[in-house]
Formats: sequence, C-alpha cells, structure tokens
Amino acid sequence: MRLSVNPRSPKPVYLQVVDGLKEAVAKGLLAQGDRVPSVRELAAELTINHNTVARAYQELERDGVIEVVRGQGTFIAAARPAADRAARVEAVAARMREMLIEAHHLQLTEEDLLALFRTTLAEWRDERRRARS
Amino acid sequence: MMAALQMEDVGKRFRGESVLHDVTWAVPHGSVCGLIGPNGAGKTTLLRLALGLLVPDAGAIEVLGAPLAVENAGLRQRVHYVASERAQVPPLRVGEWVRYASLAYPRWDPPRAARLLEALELPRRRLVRELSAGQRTSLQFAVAAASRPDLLLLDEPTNGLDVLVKSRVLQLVIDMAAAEGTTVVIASHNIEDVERLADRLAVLYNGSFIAQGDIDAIKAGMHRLQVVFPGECPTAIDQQPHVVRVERQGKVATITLEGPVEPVEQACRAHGAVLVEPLDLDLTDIFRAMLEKEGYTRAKLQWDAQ
Repeated sequence: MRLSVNPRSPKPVYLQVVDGLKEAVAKGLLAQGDRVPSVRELAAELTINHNTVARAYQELERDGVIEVVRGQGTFIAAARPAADRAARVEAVAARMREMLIEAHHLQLTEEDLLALFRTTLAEWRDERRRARS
Repeated sequence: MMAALQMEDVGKRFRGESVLHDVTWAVPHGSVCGLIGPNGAGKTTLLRLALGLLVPDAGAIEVLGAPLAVENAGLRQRVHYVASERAQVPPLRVGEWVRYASLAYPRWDPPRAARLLEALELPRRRLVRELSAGQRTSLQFAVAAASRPDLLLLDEPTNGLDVLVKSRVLQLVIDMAAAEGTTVVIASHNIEDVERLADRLAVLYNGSFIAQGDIDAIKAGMHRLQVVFPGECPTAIDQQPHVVRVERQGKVATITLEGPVEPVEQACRAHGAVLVEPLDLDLTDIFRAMLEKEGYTRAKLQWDAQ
C-alpha cells in the first residue's frame, strides 16, 4: 500500500491518513481481510507521530473500514451497513449541491454535468480495474 | 493522566536578567512535544532545567512524577538529552564511548546499540573528537536510544545530519515513542520536522509560552482570509475581535485571525466585501503570525543592527 501524507497541508495529518486508506479501499488496492500496517509500522514508514496514526485508526475502526483482531493485527473489515449511513449520504448530497453551484458559474448545463459525471465514473472504473489486475 | 514533564510558574535568571518567567508546562506521557521559538527565546535553558542541569529561581519542576532535587542521579538514567552542539568530548573511541554508556544505564540494550551504530554509519574505532558534528549527534542518538529512556529531550537534533541519516534518526524517535511509550520533547528551528513528529506544540517567546497544546487544535485555531473590497479595505476590520493582522494591497486585504472565522467573514461582507476566500496556513505561517501578534518583527531587528 502506498500512502503519502503532507504535514505542511492545512488538512490535519490524521485526516489525510483516514482519507488515504478509504481511497485505497474504494479503488480496490486493499480488500477485505488484507492486513494493514500496525500503528507503529505506519508511523515509522511515514515518519509521522504515532498518536496521529492511532487517532486515524480509531476513526477508521469507528467507520467500519478496518477492524482490530486482538493478538493478530489490524485488517480491512467486511463492508457492512454503517450506523450513520443516512447522515453520510446527506453529506454526499451536500457536496453535490456545492458542485451544482460551481457548475452554474461555469455555465454547465444539466447535460454537460451528466456527461462529465459519466466520463469521471468510467475513469474511476478503469482505475479500479487496473488496481485489481 | 500524569505528565512526564511538569513545570509550574518556573523562572530563571542569568546575571540578574530574566531568561524564563512564568513557565507552566505539562508534557503528557507518550506524547511528542515540539518546542519552537526564535533564537534566544529560552528553549535550551528550558531543556537544561528539565534535566536538572540548571536550578530554577522560581517555581517547581517534576520529571516522571518526581520533583527535581539537587541530586538527580536516579532520574538521569531515565532521561536522556541529545543536543547538536556539545563541545567537550573525552578522548575516547566510538566503541569505548558506547561501552562506557552501557555501564551507566541499567536498561542498556546491547543488540540495539550494535544495530544503531551500523544504521547510523558510525565507525567503532574512530575517535569521537574526529567525528563530524552530524556524526557526533548521531552517536548521541544511538546512546540515547540504546539506554531506553522514559523521557528524551532533543535540542536541534537534526542540525548537520545528511538527509538519509536524518530520516533514520526521525524514524527512530517515532519508533521509540510508538513502541516504548517514550515521551519526547523536540526543540527545533525546523518546523517541518516538528510538524511531522509532534502531536503537541509549545511556542516560546521572550522567556515565556505564547501558545501550547494539541498541534491539530493550534492549526485549526488560526485562519487567513483574502478579501476584496470595492474600494479601500475599511479600518474597522482591524478592530474586529480575533483579528491578528491585516495586510493591505489596494483593494485586496489579507486578514490573519485567531478564533472562529465566521464573524470576521460576516463583518467583511457587512463592509461590502465582494469576495471572501480562505487561504491555506501552514505551521510556519502560524508561528510567524503568533510572533507578530507579540510585537516581533524582522524590521525591528534590522533597526537594532544598524
């Protein structure tokens, strides 16, 4: 797994780790049952504070992305319905509304937007296919 | 949770002149605390007080739960200090130095010492005084890590280290903190190192702390906005609560603020701003803004020099 963080970014480092791992799972680079590095290993690998990594892992565990198996390590968890699913779906919708505002100011029509969405989806599918092959 | 290092209202004077005053500081167990401040802020004095090498004129210091006394031999074995500037070197070879240290520290880890000498490329037969400054720092690191300290105080630890050795040393510090729960204080001018390693931060200026706490919280507490006004930026903006600094370039103002960003955004809009945009701030910017808030300017220094 290749994960990179930029401590100079205004985005907190722990969130960069959370998002990086979520992206790797979404792209299929990491699958259910794959072992992820321990807090100590990842902290040393990225040369970042171990408490920062621990905080990221806590959040990932709460979101059901990883699970800690006592005595064995940390693994990618099976996908399961999230407890806060409704709230997170609403957050996705809110981001879509932000895109609509930006689209309006770029004079993108509904058709333009849908076409852009299809292109982006196709690229994403290709990326996932490449990651798995 | 008990703190690994605790200071209460600590003050220190040298020849009647105050170097540190009203320093209250708690470094929690297992954390890595960055200590930053301009030259002469008192960072090294603070670390030497924590080591018991200096005695405070006021206040109390507790290290690993025990108050510092005049004789701190027992504590000295659990607290290690690594500084890039250390002049006196006894006429020993690297191997002899390490053997000597192995006798001084009861928790000495011989395989680890051997591994570190190799990883940090330190030749055992070389005289310590013939090592480069960077190699001497590396040697101090090897000794510090092999003695398995509970508290590690680092004073400009990466000065003079080449890129490869530096990254090994930083990884070593992280690993000690992660694996053994070593508490680390790292005083450095290299803010990027601090940003990587630390989860807590303390900012020293003119002998006292102007900020300390969780590094993410400190980063989240300061903001910068770029604002475009139809005419001149109104002076009322400077008087807004939380505004630290306003820089004007014609119709564009860059506003640095400490605290919630929304009230300032609203005030700008109320004064007719046509564009309000957040700008990115990294720890260097935040550090500079904190110092400026305290009245520190480079221009002032230049005046002093003339």
